[in-house]
Amino acid sequence: MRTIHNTNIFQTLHGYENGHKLLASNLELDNETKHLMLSMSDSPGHDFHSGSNVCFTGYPVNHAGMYAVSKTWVAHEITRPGCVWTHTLLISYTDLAKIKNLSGLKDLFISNVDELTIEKIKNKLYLNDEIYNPKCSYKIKEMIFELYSNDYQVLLSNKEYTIDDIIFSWGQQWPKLRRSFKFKTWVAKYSINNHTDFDLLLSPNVDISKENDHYPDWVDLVLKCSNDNNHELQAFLWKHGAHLDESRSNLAYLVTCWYYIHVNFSPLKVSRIILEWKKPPISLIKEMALFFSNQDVQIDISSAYLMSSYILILSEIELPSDVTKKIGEIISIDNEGYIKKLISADSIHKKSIIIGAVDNLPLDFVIRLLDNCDISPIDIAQTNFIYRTDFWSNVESPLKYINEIKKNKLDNKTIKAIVTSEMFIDNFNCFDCYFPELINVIVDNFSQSSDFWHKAIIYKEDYAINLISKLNVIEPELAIFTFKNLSNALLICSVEVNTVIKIYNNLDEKAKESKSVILTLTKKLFKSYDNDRYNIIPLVFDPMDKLISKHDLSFSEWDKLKGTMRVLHTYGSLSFSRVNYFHIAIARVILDTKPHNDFIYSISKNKKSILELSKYISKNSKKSW
Amino acid sequence: MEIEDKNKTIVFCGLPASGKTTFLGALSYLVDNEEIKKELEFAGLPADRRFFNELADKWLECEPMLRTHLMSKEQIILKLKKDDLVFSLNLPDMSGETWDNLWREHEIDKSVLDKFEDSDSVIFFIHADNISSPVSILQGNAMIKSLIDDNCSVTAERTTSWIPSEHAPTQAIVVDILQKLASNFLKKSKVKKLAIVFSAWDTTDGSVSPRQLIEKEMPLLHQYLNCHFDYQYWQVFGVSAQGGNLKDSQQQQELLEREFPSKRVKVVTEEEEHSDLTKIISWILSK
Repeated sequence: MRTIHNTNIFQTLHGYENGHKLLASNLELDNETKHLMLSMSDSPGHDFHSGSNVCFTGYPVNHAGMYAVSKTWVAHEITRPGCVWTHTLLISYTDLAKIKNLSGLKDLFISNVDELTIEKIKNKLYLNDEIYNPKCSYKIKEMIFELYSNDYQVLLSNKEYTIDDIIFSWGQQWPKLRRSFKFKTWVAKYSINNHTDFDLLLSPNVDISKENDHYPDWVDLVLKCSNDNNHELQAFLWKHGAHLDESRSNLAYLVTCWYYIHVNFSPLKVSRIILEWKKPPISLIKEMALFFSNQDVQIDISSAYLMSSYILILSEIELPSDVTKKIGEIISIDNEGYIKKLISADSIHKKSIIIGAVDNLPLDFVIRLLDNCDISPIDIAQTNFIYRTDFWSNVESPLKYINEIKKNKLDNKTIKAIVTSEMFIDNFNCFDCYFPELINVIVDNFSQSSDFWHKAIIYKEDYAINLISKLNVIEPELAIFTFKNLSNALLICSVEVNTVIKIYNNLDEKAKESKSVILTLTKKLFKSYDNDRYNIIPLVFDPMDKLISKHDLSFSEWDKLKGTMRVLHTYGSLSFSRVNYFHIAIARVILDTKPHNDFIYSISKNKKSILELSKYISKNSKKSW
Repeated sequence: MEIEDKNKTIVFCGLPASGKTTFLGALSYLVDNEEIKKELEFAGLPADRRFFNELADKWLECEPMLRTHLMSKEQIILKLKKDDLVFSLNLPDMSGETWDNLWREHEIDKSVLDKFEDSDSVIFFIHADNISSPVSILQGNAMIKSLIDDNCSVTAERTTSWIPSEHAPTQAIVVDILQKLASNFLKKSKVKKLAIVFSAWDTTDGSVSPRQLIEKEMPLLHQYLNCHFDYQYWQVFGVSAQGGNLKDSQQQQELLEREFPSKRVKVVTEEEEHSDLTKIISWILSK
């Protein structure tokens, strides 16, 4: 707001000369303006002429882009009764928007008309808006309260208030409100109905009101800020007032908002005020929305409703999707009908609102949103809704849906949802055509996927094993899982030796030493017919030898292992110990696969075992098994 | 007399200070009092009597009427009766500036237009002492001759430029307003009636009748009325609603002392002189 010291004020004089007429003016007026000013400058009523009454009138002259403040008094000099003089000051709307205070306006009026007045009126007038000297009555609070607590016409006694009170009250307004404000300080009771478009009327026929001790805080704030010459409130009013309609009651709301923003910071209270407000300013809504879009600010139900109420307006603002999701979530919990309306409002934030709200929306509504393409499967995939079995069973084509999601690369959440859905468990076979890709994703995200899908890998082990064998890096968890499940006799046969070794190598040291891993690997060694199966021997020989020697295998475990060894229970009349039995089985593998001799020595550092093994091999190598 | 409508609005028309409100003041008093025999009788008080009483009181006290201001929406609604027929008469009190503006700017408020959309009769007021008569060619030449100095030129300071809206003769203004009224305001389908009222008739010397005054001083208006193009029936009345000059305190005192205030009123026509203002209304309302 620019400080200006002198504002150019135009002036006119109306009086009687064969009818009430414009007698002098220091500017050219168009016909519409002349017509309006002629009627506004005439006598306010018959009773006005009994005594020395003065009537001040303020009204917009839109056609000329000016605001008029006039002073009308009885023209006693004129013999015809009922004649008046009216001196009118005209301020252009542009200047009216710049004037900080209007208290000096009253001093510019003339008080009598003589021969020189016509010439004087043709001169320029200036208003110094630096002069701030309001001479308000003790009841100014009542006038402020009456004017700005609602939009009804205010009718007060002219015995209690002066033009100073009105100029002070009017001066609080922002430019847009200032230029629409209409007042008259003398109106006969019987002609009040002829002034319905006036905001404020003072009448001699109105009783003096009783004094009120208590007014709302905003009334005191207005007065305090004015008395302290505090322009912060004025700057705030002018900034946001520009976005308001011409309702006077907006002032009370704005002042209260200013208090909760600049004095006693409480954004949530501001939200509530804005929500109660019939037509709040867009600028303030945006300001608050930007404030709430800050990640550190917690959004409560008021702020959620505030932003959702103006979601179409807020389209211009880049609200973070987290914020709009939160709005959707809060409102969907509170009011199902309202969230549906909000979604149908079709704002640019629609998607994120749906995503935030979807978990609390009725199933049929969500399905309809999907069918109408208001949201895509990808959007739903981001919500917990996809964990709901009833959702999957109601989706027209779950497979198509999955396919849709796949196009956009499944994220972990989606996978988790898909791989935990009962729907998919029940309809597992439906996934045949998608299975390779699905398995691929599960393997890539093994730690996030559920047991069910782990099992699925086993069910479709040929896919899984092929995939695993092609992977360069295998997650340790997947490696453990695979080993655990490879113990299945059928499965163990179908996995290539190199794949098993690769998986084994991805195990951590602890897992490598675990009994189940050693047993699985040993079973693979004995059950496989691959020629390179001897490569497993270095991995299992020592640990298994130790397990057997220390009798760490249960009877059942040994029994199962023994079944894979394909060694006769007795060799001739000899009965073997478990260790010998194992060594014979290893020896048989070596004899069958015929690795290089050095290999035998490389398989263990246990000289004794190797020695025995060597002897045994050489002794029996000439014999057929 | 046969009354046509039960609800009637009469256009009270005239330039500023032509005596419209004074006429209404006198009429208000007259109808409410039984001091003289009237053609139309009062048939009941109007609902809103404030303006009615205000005017009647002012007239009774011989106070000059306040000029009617531009925003005025005042009107008098009279319930009158003729024999057994009761009818309502609406007499809006419009400011003289309203009609002056119609002449000068060719503009009038829509609300005024709406008020008279059903009306077919006009009472036009001309202040008998404020008639600006036209200047004939002979008179004009004589005036110019008197202004010419020895050097055969007209000095600028002795002349003013002629402004149509300021210097037009009264008859031109009246004819213009009457034409506009007939063509734009009054109900087109109906026969239109016009009463020309010369107010302040007491200020004339009485040597001519009201009709003769028009013939003599306002020939254009006389011709216009005689052709009956806009107004099929017209009549001229000389009216002294106050009965004298209120600016003269002696006359004012005399008027105040009259036993029957109604008798202050003088209505002059070609045929008669009386105090019954309702006769003008009665003539206007008759079929």
